Amino acid sequence: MRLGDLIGQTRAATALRNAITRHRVSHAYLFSGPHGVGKSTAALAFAQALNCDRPSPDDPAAACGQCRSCRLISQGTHPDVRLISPPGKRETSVIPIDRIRRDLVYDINLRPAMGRRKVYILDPADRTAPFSIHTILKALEEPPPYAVIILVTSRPALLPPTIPSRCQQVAFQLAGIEAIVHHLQTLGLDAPVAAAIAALSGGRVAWAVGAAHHPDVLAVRNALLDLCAGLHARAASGGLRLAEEIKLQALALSQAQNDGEEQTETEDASSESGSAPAAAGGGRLRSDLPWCLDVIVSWYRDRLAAAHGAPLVNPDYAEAVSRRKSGRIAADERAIAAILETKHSLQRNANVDLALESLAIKLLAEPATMRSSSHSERGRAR
Amino acid sequence: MPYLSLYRKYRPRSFAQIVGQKHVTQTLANAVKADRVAHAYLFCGPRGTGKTSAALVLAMSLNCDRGPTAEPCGECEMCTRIVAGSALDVFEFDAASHRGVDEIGEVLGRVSLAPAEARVKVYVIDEVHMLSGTAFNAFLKTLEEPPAHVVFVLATTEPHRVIPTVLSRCQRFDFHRLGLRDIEQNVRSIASAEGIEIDDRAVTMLAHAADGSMRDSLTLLDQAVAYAEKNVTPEVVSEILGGIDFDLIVEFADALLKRDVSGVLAVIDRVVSEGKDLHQLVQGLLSHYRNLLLLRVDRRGRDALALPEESVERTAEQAKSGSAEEIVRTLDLLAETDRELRFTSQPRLLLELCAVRVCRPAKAGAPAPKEEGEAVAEPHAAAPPKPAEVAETKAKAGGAVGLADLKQRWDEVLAYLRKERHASVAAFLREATPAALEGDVLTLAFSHQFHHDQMMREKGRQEAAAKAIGSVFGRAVSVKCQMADEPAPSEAPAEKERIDDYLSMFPGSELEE
Amino acid sequence: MRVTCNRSVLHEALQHVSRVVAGRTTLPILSNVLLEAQGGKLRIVAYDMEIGAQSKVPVETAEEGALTVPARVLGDVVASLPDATVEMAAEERSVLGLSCGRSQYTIHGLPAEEFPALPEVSDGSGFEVSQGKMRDLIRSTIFAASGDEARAILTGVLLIRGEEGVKMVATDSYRLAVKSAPAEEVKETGGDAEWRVIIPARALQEVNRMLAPGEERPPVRVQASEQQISFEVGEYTLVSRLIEGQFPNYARVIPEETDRSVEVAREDLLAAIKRAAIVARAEASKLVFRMQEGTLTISAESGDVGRAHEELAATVEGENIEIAFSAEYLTDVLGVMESDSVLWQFTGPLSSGLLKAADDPDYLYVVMPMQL
Repeated sequence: MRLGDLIGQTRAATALRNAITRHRVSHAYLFSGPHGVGKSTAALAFAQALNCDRPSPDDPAAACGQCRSCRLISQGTHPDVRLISPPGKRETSVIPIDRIRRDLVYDINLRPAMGRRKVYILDPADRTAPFSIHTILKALEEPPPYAVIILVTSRPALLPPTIPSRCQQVAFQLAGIEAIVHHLQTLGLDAPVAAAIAALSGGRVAWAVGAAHHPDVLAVRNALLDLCAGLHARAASGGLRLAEEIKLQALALSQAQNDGEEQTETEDASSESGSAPAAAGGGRLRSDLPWCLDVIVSWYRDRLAAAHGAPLVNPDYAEAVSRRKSGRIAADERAIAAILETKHSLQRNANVDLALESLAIKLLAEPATMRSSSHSERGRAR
Repeated sequence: MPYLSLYRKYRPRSFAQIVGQKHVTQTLANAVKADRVAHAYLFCGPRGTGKTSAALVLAMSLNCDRGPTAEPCGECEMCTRIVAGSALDVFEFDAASHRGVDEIGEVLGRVSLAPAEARVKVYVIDEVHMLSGTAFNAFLKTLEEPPAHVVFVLATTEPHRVIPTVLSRCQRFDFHRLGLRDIEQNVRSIASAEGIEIDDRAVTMLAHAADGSMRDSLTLLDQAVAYAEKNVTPEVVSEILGGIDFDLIVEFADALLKRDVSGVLAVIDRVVSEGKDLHQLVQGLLSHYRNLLLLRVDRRGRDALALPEESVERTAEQAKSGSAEEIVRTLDLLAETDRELRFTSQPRLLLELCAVRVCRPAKAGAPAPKEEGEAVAEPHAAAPPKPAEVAETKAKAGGAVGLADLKQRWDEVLAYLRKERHASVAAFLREATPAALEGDVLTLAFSHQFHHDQMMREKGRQEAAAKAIGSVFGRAVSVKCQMADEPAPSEAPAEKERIDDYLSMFPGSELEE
Repeated sequence: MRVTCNRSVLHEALQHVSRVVAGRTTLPILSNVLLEAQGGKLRIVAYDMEIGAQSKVPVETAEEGALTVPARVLGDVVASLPDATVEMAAEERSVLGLSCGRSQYTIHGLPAEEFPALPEVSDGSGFEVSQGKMRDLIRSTIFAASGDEARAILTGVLLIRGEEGVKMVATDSYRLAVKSAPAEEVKETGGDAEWRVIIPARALQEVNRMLAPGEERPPVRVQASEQQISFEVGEYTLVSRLIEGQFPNYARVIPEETDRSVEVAREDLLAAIKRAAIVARAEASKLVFRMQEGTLTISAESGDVGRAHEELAATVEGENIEIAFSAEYLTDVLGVMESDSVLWQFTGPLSSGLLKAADDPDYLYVVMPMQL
């Protein structure tokens, strides 16, 4: 993986490549930006570029990917490139302080074994045991000349300000939708499918690639949006049923995950709640549900947007979304708030069924004036 | 010579090189000259203002091979080792990761040992407020009877969290946020020394973004140089600052002021699809609205704006189109969004909701935000529910906490404060009562002017109080203080106070000394 | 890969090498040892990214090749096998087949390509000393190194190779030990430029364990490059990364002139210090030493516990002095020295004390006093 191959990250890629070509590689970097956009991948690519045995003469910042150094880095066994991440896959696990002390604070003083540079990647840097991040302050202040520390995080505000102050910040952005569509097509997807997934991805490449391997994701999304489109046609007492159906979709998602091969862990895509359908073990429902809820939120958000003539997140449902008798912006806002609150309580381990039922009831409780004339077909543009 | 980050390369090596803290460096230099160096110092101030540099310069001046001197040579073995962090007798560590009494005991237990090669052993303890209670107490014993050959330099960004008994045993120095001019000048001179071509306006932008921290300004300069093709232009700086530039902010504010929901949503859509940083946008808006407020209430305000002339013009124009009340209301909503953006996984949605709420009329009967295809005018909706994506408190789901609850359980708040070593805040709040609760703004009424003033003096105190309340009641609040004989507000607290609050909050327009 | 070898030789080699295997590791491959058969030797390697250990076992090679297997499992199996010939062969998918007499085992491993490369120290310049000398150098200094990871340089031992021989220096800023091996006892290899490197104390500990007690031959071959250092004894090699940075200038720490000294029997001194220290535990082991005509007294006092007072016969020169030290920093050095008496030199109560073994010009120890 070369820096130049990152999808939709021109700013970051430029900054990093310039650093190498101009011999201005800093001792500390902070890679920030939404998760799932390529920060972790870039950190490794940067480490490879810094240590490649056979860099390309036209592009010194491009790692060859084949030499021993590049291969060991990809494998994670290069003695001079340390990836320090929380143990286990649970979202609540943190990097213990001993690990940071041993593998970074102490290790940084050992001269490189085979590379030109020693690279320490702390990913995600906001998930460290309380107070333990301070332990790297001295290393950030006065590291040995060969060392480069890369902090990767999607929540830089959680770092004590003294840390980013000492790092060069490289901002990663959400990729442009076209860039993702294009990339998905190179992976072999058909144009319409690629477009739908790209739209859903919200600019997150890792998610899009993951979803591309599980086309069921698209099916679930459509089912959920259809559910929303049909809400006003349901009886207000149908809360239980609605909750069941939402849960079913989330389970279908988990199933799709199960069937597929182990997803590639290129990002900390699995490390943030509610943003991508991926998790291990029994907690899968808890992480797939938030994504489903996000899809439902996007429906209400689109209603608000449609009322104001603003662009939609789900343009293929444009027709269904704009079929509404009267405004009721407040109702949509309440719905959004209720859904976000549900996500929040799920994060805090509320009972899944109760939370969903309570939400369903709220969603159905909106006045009957929300019923529109004719409906229930998929308003998908083709 | 391998490349060194600018902030490392230009780290001050003498008292004279420390910018903007004359009151500190002068005093320290004199103390060294007169051989009246204290045993313990407490350096307080925000990050990147020179605390650690001053500590190391002090260590150098005490131990320079050329004798104790207010002007250490910086070249002798002792000086170079201190700077490199490899001096045997200079101990630097941060209390945040060595909080416990065992760890600190290890180090402090050996304080009485004579220095191996230096004249004076210097212990530099950063973020000292992070020491646990027991560690503080253990430390206290050493501070009470310091050995002759030892100097402690404690540093902290939160002096109110240092226990009073330690405070009283140290000579305290407050490091100020650096002024815009100081930072600009420093950036210019370093850029020139490094042969970097940089546009004046770019310098101002960088200095502004540095938010009072010299170190930040140099880190940003490094970033800008790394990113730029040739010179560092305002466009380059805008890019590295997340691509949020003045034009975008004015456009956004314009739409908000006109209550043009579709316009605002369109801007947000553009920002998102261009991958720009939403959080930066919100912060830029906060800063801009604060400027609008300033221009609205104070005609002299124009001089205090740290912006290029044409931007000042445009801001002034815009300020005419909104009432102070509206601006304050928008600031409130923006500030709330800013807080919540840190924790949400739905930044776009959050900002969109905020924009929609801003555009909603404040009073019933005022024109509703434009909606397309609207048959019936939307009646004024009740106070919109707040998106509950607040991770900072252990929120009880759906718990509505009322004023009565707050009053009843006030003791718990005080206890929490004491536990978190905010004993002083607890003391000030003991005589205060919750007087009004509007949305998420809690007004506290004080019976003693002194307590009220003390609470107002430092933002940290209000934040500590807010946090305590949040933790006890499971609900995020912000705290407003007022005197008890002022009328308890039935609406939002006195506008003047809010205006003053906002005005005091932001950087860049302090009148320079 | 297919080899046949002697069990006890294999066992011994595995034991040595396995000590270096990473205890708790995030990478499974690091819990493994690499087995590589080439020519008539089987190379066994363990590496924890900081220190690597290698040993070569003579084998009959039916087929060359390599793979890695979990160190613990292999080690335990081989340890408990009967003393007969062992045959090991790599089966498909990185599985090791092992047979010895009528015992047959298969052990799941990982491919050799995944094993990180052990750094090689070729073209390094170095020296050779006898095993006994190397032990001496190490044990005289290693205890003085710091255990504080935050001051990483001090956790290493400085090794200097120069015209006058070889020196090792260790310090934790509270005391400093310097041990020399004069040029006559050292054979330089690969050029004569002076070099100095800082070696993690842990690596030296492993080197120490590699050395057979009482053995002088074969000598220890030391080679250093910019990044690492290797110690080779017979078929065993230990490689370690070097610590970056500037080691303290130890010469500055050694007092130049002293005007008072005391000579006293070493074992008596050590015993007295240990006893008195019992009382002083709560006081950071603070002991007060007083020297007067012919006597050295040691006292300790602790409010709750009690008092200690010891007197030793001593040859005192120069003015009387009263000075305090922590017992912690005296017991290990006195235990390491072997001479009958020690010479202890001072300048004043706030200056460091210089301790020497009476008949050993090659050893110096500096210790900082405590405030009285």
